[in-house]
Amino acid sequence: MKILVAVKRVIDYNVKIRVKPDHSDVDLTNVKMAMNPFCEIAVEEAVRLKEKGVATEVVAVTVGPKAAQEQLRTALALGADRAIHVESDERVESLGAAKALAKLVEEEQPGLVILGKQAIDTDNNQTGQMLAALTGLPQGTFASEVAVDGDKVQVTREIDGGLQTVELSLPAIVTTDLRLNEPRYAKLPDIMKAKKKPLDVKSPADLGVEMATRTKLLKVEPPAERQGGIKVGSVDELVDKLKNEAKVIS
Amino acid sequence: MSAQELFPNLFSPFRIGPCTIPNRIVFTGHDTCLPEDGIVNDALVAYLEKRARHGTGLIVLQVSGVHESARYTSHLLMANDDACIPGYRRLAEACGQHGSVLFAQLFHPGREIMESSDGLRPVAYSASGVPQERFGVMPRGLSRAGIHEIVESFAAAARRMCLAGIQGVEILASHGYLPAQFLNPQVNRRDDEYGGSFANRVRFLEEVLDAIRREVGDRMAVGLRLSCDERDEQGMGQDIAIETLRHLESRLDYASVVAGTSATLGGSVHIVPPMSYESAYLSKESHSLRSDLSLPLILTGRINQPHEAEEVIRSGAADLCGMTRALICDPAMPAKARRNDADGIRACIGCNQACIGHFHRGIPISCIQYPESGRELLYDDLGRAEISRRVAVIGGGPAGMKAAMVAAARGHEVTLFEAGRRLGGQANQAQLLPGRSEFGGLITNLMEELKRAEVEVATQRHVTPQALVAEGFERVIVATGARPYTPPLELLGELPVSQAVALLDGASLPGGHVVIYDTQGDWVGVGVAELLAREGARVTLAVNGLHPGESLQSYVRDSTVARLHDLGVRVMTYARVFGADDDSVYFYHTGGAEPMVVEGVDHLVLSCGGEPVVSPEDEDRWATLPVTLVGDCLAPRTAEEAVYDGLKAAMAI
Repeated sequence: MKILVAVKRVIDYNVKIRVKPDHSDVDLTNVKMAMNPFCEIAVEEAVRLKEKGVATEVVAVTVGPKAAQEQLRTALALGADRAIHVESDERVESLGAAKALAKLVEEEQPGLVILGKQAIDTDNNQTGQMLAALTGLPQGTFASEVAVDGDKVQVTREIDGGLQTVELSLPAIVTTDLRLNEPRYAKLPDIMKAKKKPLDVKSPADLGVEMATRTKLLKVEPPAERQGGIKVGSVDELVDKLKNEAKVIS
Repeated sequence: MSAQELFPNLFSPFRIGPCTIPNRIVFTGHDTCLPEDGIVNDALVAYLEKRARHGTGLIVLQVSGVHESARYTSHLLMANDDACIPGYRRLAEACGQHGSVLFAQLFHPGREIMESSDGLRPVAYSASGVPQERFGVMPRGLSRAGIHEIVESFAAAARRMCLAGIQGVEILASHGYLPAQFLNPQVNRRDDEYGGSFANRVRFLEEVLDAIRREVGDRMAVGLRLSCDERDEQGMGQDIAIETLRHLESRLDYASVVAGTSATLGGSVHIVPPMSYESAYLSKESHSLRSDLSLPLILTGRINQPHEAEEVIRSGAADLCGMTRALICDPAMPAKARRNDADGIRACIGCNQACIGHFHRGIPISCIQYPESGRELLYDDLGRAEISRRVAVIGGGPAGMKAAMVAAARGHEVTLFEAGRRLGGQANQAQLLPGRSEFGGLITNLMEELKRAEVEVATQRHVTPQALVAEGFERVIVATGARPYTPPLELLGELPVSQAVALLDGASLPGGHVVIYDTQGDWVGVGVAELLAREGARVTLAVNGLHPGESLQSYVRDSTVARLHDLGVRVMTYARVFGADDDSVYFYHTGGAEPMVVEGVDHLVLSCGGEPVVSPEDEDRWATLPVTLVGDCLAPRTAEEAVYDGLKAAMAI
């Protein structure tokens, strides 16, 4: 079985996000970039399935700028066998990514597609679901456990207040939650070997996909700075302030 | 030709204050790390006595702290208590008996404190609270009571020196020490009578000199040591030096001229300028000082040979020459020059490794070429062996040459066998690096010593200890050196890999983007980086240590690192090599094991030290033979350990 894994280049989670002075977007100048942590979990799961003998090939895919090849190399170092880069310098929306992935699913015919449930930059949580819709494949989202059994996969999903286990027929789409696994670190021997692994570059046009954005980014605001607290002298003063200044009670 | 004709100026007497200096050769003040507990000991007496015995005209003793707050390392002399007087008297007598004149340096470092006496961070005082860059010291500005106390401590220390029979005192206003901190408007931010105008900034020195004269009158020579230019953005230029000397001229008997400042890495290089500086490189500055002054001048700064000193004096750049490292390297230099034996002088090569290098490591002074230096109590005289033996030395590098020379000087019949065409070992490669050509002087000096000791030298001779013993040699010293070490490397491609020292042997130099991997922090890694960058390569220097040239003496290192920076050499630190493929080199970060990858590489060069050519199995084979291993074939180290191994092995026969 072949597994297709999607990965995304995002700002490293250790780095503080800064907004451009004109609020037009997040400032990416000189910022350390890395693989989206949920995507690392997806790669790890695919590699583990290969190590267990369930999968025979792991193909890592990204849609994004040229620099995103760094994240594909990381996926290859973590154990993916080959990589496909759909190169696009446009802002990539969930739908655009899903359309490109859908075409690749058609070309590659994987038994399983694993994606992160969301990327930590835009937190959309859409691509996996859109891909399922476009391909007509069953989906198991927010996976905390994935067990392949013959032509079925059991996916344990993290839902509000508990766990839900669903069984899907393969081929299927799975998106990963945080507790699915603990991804390994890329080791130097693997980083070296990764350079020799094949990496195909395609354009959206090669796939016949239109990447034009359908949403317009109007404004980016950093979280409001917290105001300093004050000490109130009496219960009456507190009630007065909650009513008239904070306007949280009436 | 007599010395009078060859060196007419160098060997003419000169008067400083009440003292007549018998010649113009000066052993200037320098830390030795010989004293213990802040007082004069046998080792220091023997060290200075030896220089006096061989004809040094003026010996200026290493710094003496005048006040408790002057302890700038844990191992300096202190002159803040009358208990110090007998020690200084011993020195005055030891030097005086040979006709040398002894002066002492009176010292307060101000903020220039490396460590307090217990090794902790110091409480340091300065003109103002302006931070010191090199040691990371934030000083306290002195109170006026504090200033007065320190002024009086200079006077009290001078009185003690006078009582001890020392003939002169020298106040250190050089290298950014406390008096210079008052003079320097970038460090002195005071708004009282000690800060602001030049008249105010020089007041501290005036008070110090007046207090000293009050104590010692004209019975002692009183001098000032000053940097003619501190050679740093944060330091003082020549204008302040000239103004200071002019202003104080009437209070002084002489000035001692140096350059640089202790406060910064770049400025401190001039405290002991390495071999990349020309000989007598401060002559020009000294000339221009002299045109403004009538004060006798001592000039220091890479004056290594008597003919250079003669020229400095003849040209009028100075009246006396500080030849400190020349005398550390060859205490008999004045006597040899006087008897017209310039070829017999073991010339200092300015490597800085065992003189100032030992000081920075907190160990007693020595010399890589002359390990007897600083060890006068052990090796004042090589002596004669009781039984003369036939001795063979295998390997003509520094260890073998020194062993052969010393053994022959002790009366043995010595043959030195060298497999190659020429003597010198790895020093032959060392001298090929930029700014290191003088390192070859090590070989020249040792060859001269071999010749004089009448060692028979046989080159292009491959010999074994077994065969030599069978031939009748009674002792065999093996000094066959090391071969370059190659660390384990994961090679997954065709990237060319070379040994740094192999490149120096004349093979064509790699171009393009060259990565140099250096685990040693010695002269090879930084030297090859400079060489390749000068030849047009783009160089990345990946070092296993914290910074490039980590094991080099800091003045050698910092001047080299500055040149690498100018040449655009990129430096990676904390690197441990893992491997290479066709065009990338892969490293681990030694602090956290994170991978570091250098891409677009054309060549990898290794500078990873050596491994001994003599194996433990060889040792077993020779177990019954009278064999001693010395130098890198025993354990790969530097020329210093090699030469010292040679000395020790030969002294044991």
